[in-house]
Amino acid sequence: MKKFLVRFLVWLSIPLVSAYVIDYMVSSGLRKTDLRKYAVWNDIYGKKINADIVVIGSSRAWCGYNTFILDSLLHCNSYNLGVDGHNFEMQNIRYSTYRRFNKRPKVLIVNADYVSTLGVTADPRYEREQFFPYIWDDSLISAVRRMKDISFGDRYMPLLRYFGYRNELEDGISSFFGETVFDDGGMYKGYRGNDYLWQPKEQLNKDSQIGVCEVSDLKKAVELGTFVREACEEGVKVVLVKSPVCSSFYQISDTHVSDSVFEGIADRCQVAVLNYYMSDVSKDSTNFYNYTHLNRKGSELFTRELCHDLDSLGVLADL
Amino acid sequence: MLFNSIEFTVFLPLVFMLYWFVFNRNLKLQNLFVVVASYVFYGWWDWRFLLLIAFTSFCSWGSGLLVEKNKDYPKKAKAISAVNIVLNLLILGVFKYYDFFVKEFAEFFSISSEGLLLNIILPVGISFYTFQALSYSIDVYRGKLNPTHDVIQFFAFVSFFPQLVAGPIERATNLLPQFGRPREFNYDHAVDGLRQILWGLFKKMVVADNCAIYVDQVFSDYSSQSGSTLLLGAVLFTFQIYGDFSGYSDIAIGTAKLFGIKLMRNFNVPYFSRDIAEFWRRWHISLTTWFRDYVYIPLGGSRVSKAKVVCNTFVIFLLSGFWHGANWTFIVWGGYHALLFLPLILSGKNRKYTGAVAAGRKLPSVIEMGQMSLTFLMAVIGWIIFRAKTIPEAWGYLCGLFNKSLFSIPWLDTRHYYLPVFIGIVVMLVVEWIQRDKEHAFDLAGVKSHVLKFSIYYVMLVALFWFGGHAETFIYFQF
Repeated sequence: MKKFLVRFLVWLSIPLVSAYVIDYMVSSGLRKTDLRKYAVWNDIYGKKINADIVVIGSSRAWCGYNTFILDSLLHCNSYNLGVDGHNFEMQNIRYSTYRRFNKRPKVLIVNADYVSTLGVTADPRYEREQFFPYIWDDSLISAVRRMKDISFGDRYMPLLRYFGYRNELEDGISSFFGETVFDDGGMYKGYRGNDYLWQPKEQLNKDSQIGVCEVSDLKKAVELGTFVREACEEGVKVVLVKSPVCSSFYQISDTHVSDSVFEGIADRCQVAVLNYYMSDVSKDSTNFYNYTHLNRKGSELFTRELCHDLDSLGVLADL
Repeated sequence: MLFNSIEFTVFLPLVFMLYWFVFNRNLKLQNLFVVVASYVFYGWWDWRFLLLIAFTSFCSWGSGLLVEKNKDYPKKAKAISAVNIVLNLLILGVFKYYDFFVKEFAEFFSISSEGLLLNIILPVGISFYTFQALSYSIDVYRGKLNPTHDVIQFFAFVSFFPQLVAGPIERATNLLPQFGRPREFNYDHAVDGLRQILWGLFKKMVVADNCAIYVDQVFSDYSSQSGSTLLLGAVLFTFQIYGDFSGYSDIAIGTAKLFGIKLMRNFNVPYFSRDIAEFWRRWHISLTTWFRDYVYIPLGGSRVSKAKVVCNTFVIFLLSGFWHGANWTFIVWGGYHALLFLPLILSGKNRKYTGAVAAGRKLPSVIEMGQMSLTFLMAVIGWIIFRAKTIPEAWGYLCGLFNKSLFSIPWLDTRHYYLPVFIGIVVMLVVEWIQRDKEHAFDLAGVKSHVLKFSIYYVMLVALFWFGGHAETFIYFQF
């Protein structure tokens, strides 16, 4: 028995040590990449942002707010913290993490839409791998642990969380050895312009159901209201922005619950609301790649209009 | 808990250490620990069903004692045994088949089944441990086995966790005595057990789970696929179910070896069979021999008239199909195999091939290749029926397969799991071919070089990690 145990432990030690080494390599490598899933988190933890204008929201934010145009027209340092596929809970987690490592922004643009107030997103485990390289950050992992089903083993056993994520393993190791790993299209300060082809039918069914079914979660609405209030108390100028949606979507969906939530928050916190649902950008479907997401062209047009309106509001006075 | 889960990775070493270091001095305590550990393992899914397995175990144990007490009254003993059998089958029937029969009855008489259905969750492993408990009571009644007075020993026999939820369905004559005598730790058996676990994990995680990705897509949308895609889907399912089920059996048998327990072999390279009779001697051996010994032979077996042989054959295969689940597809699958088996048994050629294929040779002959390919193809067609959710779906799948689009290039999506599927299947077939006369495919006792052995283990471990698909439950858990 003793021989069995000793030999087994000796045998196990090699893969165990290797697992720690590979885990370190993969995680370090992913922390250097420009892949969409990791680029923003890498910038946050790298304390590289320190932006004057920060945008928060869902995927509609990260593909809609062109930070290059914001920087150019407003002569400032902006950053887009939009997070794909998640409601306000994750958006708040991302912003809170940003604040732990970067200075407070002067202007906070909250992309106020139905996604923020949704009860659940399509798959709570969606893109859970984006947290793997930061498994050491107890604050972040405690916040996302339940949502992303990150177990005790994932946190403390080397390499276990990467099981089944071959792309992450390959990209991490490549990046660790100096290869530049990035998505097609690239990211600019959290923004990525999309040139996807228009696919209306599928997206219409998906997004219109969300609006029509009224799955808005009032708890999220309360959290959002508290968030805006606290940001205002910190001296941050908050602007709620209803970014463009394709007008044919707006006609058939019912977003009045989320709309009323944002109007209520704006009233209580005395913040401005900019509504682009009926703007010229919304009326032209060639500005979108589906009913709710702007393409590159649309994001450029929208961001220019937004810059003009922000200037008119006077929120940029301190920049 | 799944064998390929982190919980089991913690559970197994803990149980192993306690079994050999804390409870090994007292057999009764050690058996009690086995029962506790097994109930924790089983209760991990749903603690509510612990009462059911305890009840089943108690009834079968009790019936053994009552049969012994009434051994001078054969009719009474027979009645006791019959009551236990009926009770166990009734429990199995209620949980597994009640809703099926109610729905069929309602459909036949065009009435609504709402309000009549129980909608009970099927307890994991009920088909396995029920048959295992039944084998005890039948063997006691037949006098093949003395009943045990030790209730803990019996509970350990029924609930022993490695084989509790998906077999092998052990015979009391094999497993029960092993809980009646002290177990000695054997280094070679333990190492061999670890190897067998590693091999089982490879078949499950690299072959079965990766095949499942493609198979699920094809079967869920079979009506819009080409014949070649349907064929590829069916072939991959053939490997998926083998990798899944035989992988589980390997893990179960290997785990049992760590505890000094020897379980029966459940698969013997069935896809190298030369005819369908040989296939059924090599596939799910514990179930087929159970039906042979407890149903087929009592009905007269093949020592009766040809008409009765036909009848008995159909009974066995239909029951075997129905055992898998409450669905007509399983029954039709059983019937299909009965039709394939009948010519062999009626002509007396069902035991033509009993030894290893190509014994003493490295490669099979052309004729043997042809025989294996034909048998494999027959199995593939059967698996289509087995996998389909309904008979119309199975029919639709088969019709879609056998048309001229069979010769087109199959659909392959852009994901990267083809490499592990291809490598996994080739490695599995090659290794199982080379080792076909060994107890299991990863029996490396004959390899003298430690460096070579350790290298193989590490390569397997890397393959498991790199190519292992996302964890899926074992297919046979649903039975």
